[in-house]
Amino acid sequence: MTTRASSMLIAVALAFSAGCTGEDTASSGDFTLNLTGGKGLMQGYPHDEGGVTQAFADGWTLTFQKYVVVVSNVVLRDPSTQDAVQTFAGPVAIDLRSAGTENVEIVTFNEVAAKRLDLDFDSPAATAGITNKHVEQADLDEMVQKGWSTLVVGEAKKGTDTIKFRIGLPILSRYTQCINGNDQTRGVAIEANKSVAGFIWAHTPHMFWDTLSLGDEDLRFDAFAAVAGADSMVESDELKQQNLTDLKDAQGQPLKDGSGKVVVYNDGGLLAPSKQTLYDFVVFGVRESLHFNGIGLCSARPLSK
Amino acid sequence: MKETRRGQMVVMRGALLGALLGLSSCIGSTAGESILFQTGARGATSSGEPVTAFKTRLGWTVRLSRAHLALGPVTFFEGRSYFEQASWLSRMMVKTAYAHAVHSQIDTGTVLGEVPEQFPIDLLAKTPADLGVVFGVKGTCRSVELELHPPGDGYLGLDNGAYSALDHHAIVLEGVAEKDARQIEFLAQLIIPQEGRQRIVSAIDADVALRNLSDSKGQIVVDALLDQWVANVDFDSLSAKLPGSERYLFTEETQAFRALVAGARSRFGYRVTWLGE
Repeated sequence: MTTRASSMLIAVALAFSAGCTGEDTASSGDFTLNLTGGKGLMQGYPHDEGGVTQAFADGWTLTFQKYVVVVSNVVLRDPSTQDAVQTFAGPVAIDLRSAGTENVEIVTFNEVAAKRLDLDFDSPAATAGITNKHVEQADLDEMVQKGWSTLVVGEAKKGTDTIKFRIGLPILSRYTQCINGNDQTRGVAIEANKSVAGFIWAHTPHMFWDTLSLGDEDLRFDAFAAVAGADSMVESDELKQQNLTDLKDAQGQPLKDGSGKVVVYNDGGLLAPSKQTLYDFVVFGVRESLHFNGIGLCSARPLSK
Repeated sequence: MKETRRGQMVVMRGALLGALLGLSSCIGSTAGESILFQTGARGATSSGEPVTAFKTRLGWTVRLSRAHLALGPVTFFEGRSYFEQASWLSRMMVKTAYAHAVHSQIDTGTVLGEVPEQFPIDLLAKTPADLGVVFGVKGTCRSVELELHPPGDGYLGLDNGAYSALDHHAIVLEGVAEKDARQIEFLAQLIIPQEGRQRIVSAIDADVALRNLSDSKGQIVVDALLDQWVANVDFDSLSAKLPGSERYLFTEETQAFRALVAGARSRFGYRVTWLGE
């Protein structure tokens, strides 16, 4: 085969290839980014997901009434240069549970170059003047005042016990180089002359997992319930009362599981000695709870103050 | 079987060391260049206090009379230790779909070198213990991963007798803790549970340019920070004494045991430095 013939064959192949993927660099498309919390948020625990029952190991059932996440600085980047192709500054605060729908739009980018792009975003503290989507104003005011980026409100029940929780957290993180949970590739492929949708998934179990390491995780609420106090309401600061090296039950005795074994949370060696509290554990866990298109993981780093 | 494989490893390592030592002296400084570098480990404190007497975060003054560690393997990585997304492979290894933990993994990048065996470290010694010469890749080590098994759970770098002070444990600490008017003699003999990655300490920060043995007689040293290990230990929680002795034991049901395990397997319990000639 001549060089010329080979070149023509390659050109034809590339043309077909571009048509198949829709990644036509000469054209553009639209991209809508939503926020969702999935079944865990809407149905609470236990629920079935992917053929697996997601339930608390210590017998609690749990439902959410509010799940507020702040998102800002959404950037689509050229993966080769890391130049911003389109940016949404935000910030926007969204209460996923109060929205009444599973997906809430963060932003739609129009006329985006039809190619694969990296996705970055931030979850900063709520600020005055933030765009409000379905968040009760009093909640938003408190988030602004306390520098929270996340507010989770709900209740848990076990037997005759009902414990409410209202946990605000300063996650304050930047998420970069997100993997697309749909196909395990990086970022999102913008298709020519089409509208593509993606979603940031606020993955609810992170707040209640008992490990920051991989595998053998259980959902637990006993350590939360133990610090609820007389008002049967767990608030963020109360989580600081739980020392990870010495978890206590409500009576101040060592916290034990159903088999009588002392409950130990596994921090994976990731928390500093000065941050060995349930509060710090939850902050670390929830920081890693925002994914892209399912379990598409992003690199999460603290926002510089 | 273990001894045979270890023997093979030692022979292969020796041969490679010799070959690389000859080769490395005549190769220019290029990316991916093979080098040899010396490794070591010792006890230290984050505060700079002597390892034999230091204050803890909870206000205890700890005076150590013995401190031993079985250390290894140790892996030196080029990648930083902040938390990156899990690799595709690691996600697939998670036990069930949608059942994943924090799944923030560490993008450790290229392996620059590895100490494959376990070595006994006297943490009160004045000089670092020798972890051997590693044949690796030239670069800047930005994170380290190490393992804390009882001797024999990995390949031993020295003869069995060298591990006798550990008495089959991964960590031994002995001394006195003082606070206010209280004085508590203690003996901690730890075997970290073999569950998940509990014996693996990841994401230890480093910023050490590795130098070829032919250019520098220095070494990369892992410091075990003893004040960080016991930072959150409440010695008052100890209740069981060694029979016939005044020394309290770190028994598993105590806060002291859990706090010491957490400290020893914390990424903040170690420091990595280059110790010059």
